[in-house]
Amino acid sequence: MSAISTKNLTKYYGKHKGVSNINLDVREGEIFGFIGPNGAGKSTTIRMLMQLINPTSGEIKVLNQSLSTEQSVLRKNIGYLPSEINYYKDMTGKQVLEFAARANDIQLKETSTKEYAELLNFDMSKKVKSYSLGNRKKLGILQTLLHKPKLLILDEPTSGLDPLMQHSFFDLLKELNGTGMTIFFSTHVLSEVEKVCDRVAIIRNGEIIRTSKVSEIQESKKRTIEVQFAKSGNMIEKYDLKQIDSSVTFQNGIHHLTVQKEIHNALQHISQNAIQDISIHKPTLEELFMEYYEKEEGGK
Amino acid sequence: MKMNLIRNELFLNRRSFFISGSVILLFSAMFAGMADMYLSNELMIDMLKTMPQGLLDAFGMDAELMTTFEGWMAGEPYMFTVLLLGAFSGIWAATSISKEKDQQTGEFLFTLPYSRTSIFLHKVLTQFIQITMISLVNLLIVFIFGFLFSSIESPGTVLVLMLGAYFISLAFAGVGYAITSILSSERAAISLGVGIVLVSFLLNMLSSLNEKLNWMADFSLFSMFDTKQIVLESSLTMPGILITLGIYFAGIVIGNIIFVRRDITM
Repeated sequence: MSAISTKNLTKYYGKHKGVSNINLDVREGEIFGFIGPNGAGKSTTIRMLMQLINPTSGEIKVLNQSLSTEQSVLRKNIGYLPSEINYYKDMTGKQVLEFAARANDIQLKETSTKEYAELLNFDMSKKVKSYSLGNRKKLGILQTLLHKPKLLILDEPTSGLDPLMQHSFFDLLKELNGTGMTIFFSTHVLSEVEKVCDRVAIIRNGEIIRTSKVSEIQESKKRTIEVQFAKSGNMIEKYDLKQIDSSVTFQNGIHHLTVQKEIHNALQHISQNAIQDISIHKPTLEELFMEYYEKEEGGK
Repeated sequence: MKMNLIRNELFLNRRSFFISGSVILLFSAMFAGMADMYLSNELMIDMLKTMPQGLLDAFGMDAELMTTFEGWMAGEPYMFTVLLLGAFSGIWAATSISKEKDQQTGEFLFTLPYSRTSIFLHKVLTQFIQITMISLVNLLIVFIFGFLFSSIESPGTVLVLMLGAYFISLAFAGVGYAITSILSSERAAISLGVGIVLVSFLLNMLSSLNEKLNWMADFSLFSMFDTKQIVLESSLTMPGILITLGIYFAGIVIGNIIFVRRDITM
């Protein structure tokens, strides 16, 4: 069953395209990453899911409820963390959380907020205006989780958190996902997706260009080979390395080759000559993403 | 009724509520307390009689009425009450949604499990409570100072006068509600909230200066109730009541429709 489902979701701001024909299918119980650079349309899509902005066309279903009309009660099952969260400055963190808890018809003391606050090393007693960006984010995380929603929608959740907190946060996400919570989060930091996501959708210029499992993207056969031959100097022509990779380069005594298909033939070709050093490595998700993006950009 | 939303709104408006309440009450206490200094001042009344009627009307003064406490209160004190209460009501109403957008707290508030209509109407209700509370305490202050330092012959007339000021203030709030969802800047909302009251005051004032400018009064909420008539008849005219409350309710309906339909962009 789908936790989030969109069909040809489109948003135009006047003549300017926000997003176009977004088709998402986030299954219940999965961690779904929504990746793309700044301005790609991630927040626009999320704000439509939260009914903050109205789609120009297309359909949205969240937790099997159509969002063609306002579904305020449905929000009791959704935890939403915007990319830039702001609360009432004169309230303390605790007052904000109490207000949000009462909105969900629960008492703050009945929730796991205290436990999560300790985990995130967050002081609830201070006024919002005294919080740093990171602490405001922590408050946002606590508010998002306090009513134990079925679905978490997080827009750039780790911006403002230090690496240690990011680590704790991802551990928490995994733990919550283990209890059956569906998590949909947007980011432009690919290592975050690599860490926790089951599936991802890549968005560029307001359009989804690929949706797949993270493992499928990582299973690309592409390899980078760095080889230093026994004979010094540029051997690209002499050893006919362009037969393996037409864009082979030579830098600081090392030949850099990218192999798109089976690596076996490439290694056989290279090993016909004496090798001093060789290394082969898989591309990171970041490299694959950039390559994918550049490819799409070139195709346009 | 969502007490959570009312409590939140009261908390957010607490500072402006106390400031505005204090200013209005201070003015009223001053005007009511000093009434006799003007009423018993023959020189002042003689001077007023020499001034052109248009100029006196423009500043809410009438030599004929300046002989009783009720007549005195129908002049400048009434004008100032409408001006101040109207301005604060207009500001609260005009900033009710625009402030949430400007301070970017809307993304928190508008994604809680409340409908936009519910949020909007609870803001309206809270501000109605605030305006009513200030008006009631204001009336009480006028009565206390009036009885202590002057003599009130007809408390009913004073009540009707203050009721008129209250209705006009609600109408200014209605105008504020109609525009609040369109605005994204709190400063712009405050300027408009005050600006509308001042323009209305100026239109009323200018309309009294020359017969050719009388039409301006038709566009001013300050001319909704004829204070001279209130003092003489101790009642508010029905068209005035209907127009002021009509503007208030129409403003709420228009504001809510705009708020529900518009994208919330911050």
